[in-house]
Amino acid sequence: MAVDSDAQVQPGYELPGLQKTIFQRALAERSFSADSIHNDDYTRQHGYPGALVSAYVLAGYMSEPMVRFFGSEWFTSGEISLRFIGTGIQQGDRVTCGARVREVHPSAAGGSSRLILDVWMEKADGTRPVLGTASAILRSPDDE
Amino acid sequence: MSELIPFESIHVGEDLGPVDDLVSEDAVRQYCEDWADSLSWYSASSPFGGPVAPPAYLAGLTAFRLLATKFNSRATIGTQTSHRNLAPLPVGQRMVTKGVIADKYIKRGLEYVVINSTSYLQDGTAIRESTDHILLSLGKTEVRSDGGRQ
Repeated sequence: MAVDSDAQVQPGYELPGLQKTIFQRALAERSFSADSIHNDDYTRQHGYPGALVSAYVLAGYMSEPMVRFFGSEWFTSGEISLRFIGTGIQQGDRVTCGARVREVHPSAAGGSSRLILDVWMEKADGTRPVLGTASAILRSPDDE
Repeated sequence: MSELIPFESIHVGEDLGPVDDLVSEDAVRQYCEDWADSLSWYSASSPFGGPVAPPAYLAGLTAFRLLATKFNSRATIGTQTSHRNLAPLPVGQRMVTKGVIADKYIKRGLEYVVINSTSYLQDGTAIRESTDHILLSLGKTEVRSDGGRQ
């Protein structure tokens, strides 16, 4: 877990951004049909800068900072919901996966809280083609 | 409109799958290489005992594979994805995913299908619930003045 104290985790707390260079193996190794969103020509005809990286690939990148922050709790209590908007993400894009705590809901028994976060993936130009929310149980350090 | 998946051919409530995956050590290693995620839980011990798959392993992709069991999904695009993690997925196990067409809709002339799915371990333990909104094609549906589509 990235924090030492519950006191740090309040609404507005921002998780450390995780920088990644986007890679999808299929785009590197295969060619795609003329009506595929993974085809450069086709996507450019529809106003995109190039072939789109698949949503599941981006969801995978967004999961990593959640595991880093929530630890094992992410595997049993984590929820994430993402929307893919704008002109998407292309192979080789440098992005930052970000998250900010929106709500903290302490458990009745104490010792843990369910957090609700706003999450995003931001490109180098400042646009955010991936937006969403995430939620999971954050254990108190005393419980670990 | 989608030429590969006629909107009328999508039936809400129709079951999809199952799809079955062996979560092999090699597959998880390749995932970790591709996503540049070197957390040791995926290759050695984890808080759950042995190695586990990354929690997003195949998440979202399974919805497309479920759709592909009935339709040609090559021109589709994921527009929304939601996942609820329930349990870890140990490396070496099989994961079985079952789905259902939960909805279909047209928004701004574009056709979508919504797939709900649940992934299980072989013993029936549910490990992840997902909802995926999938755009059938970048091609728009023309709406006639009488409300019909063409």
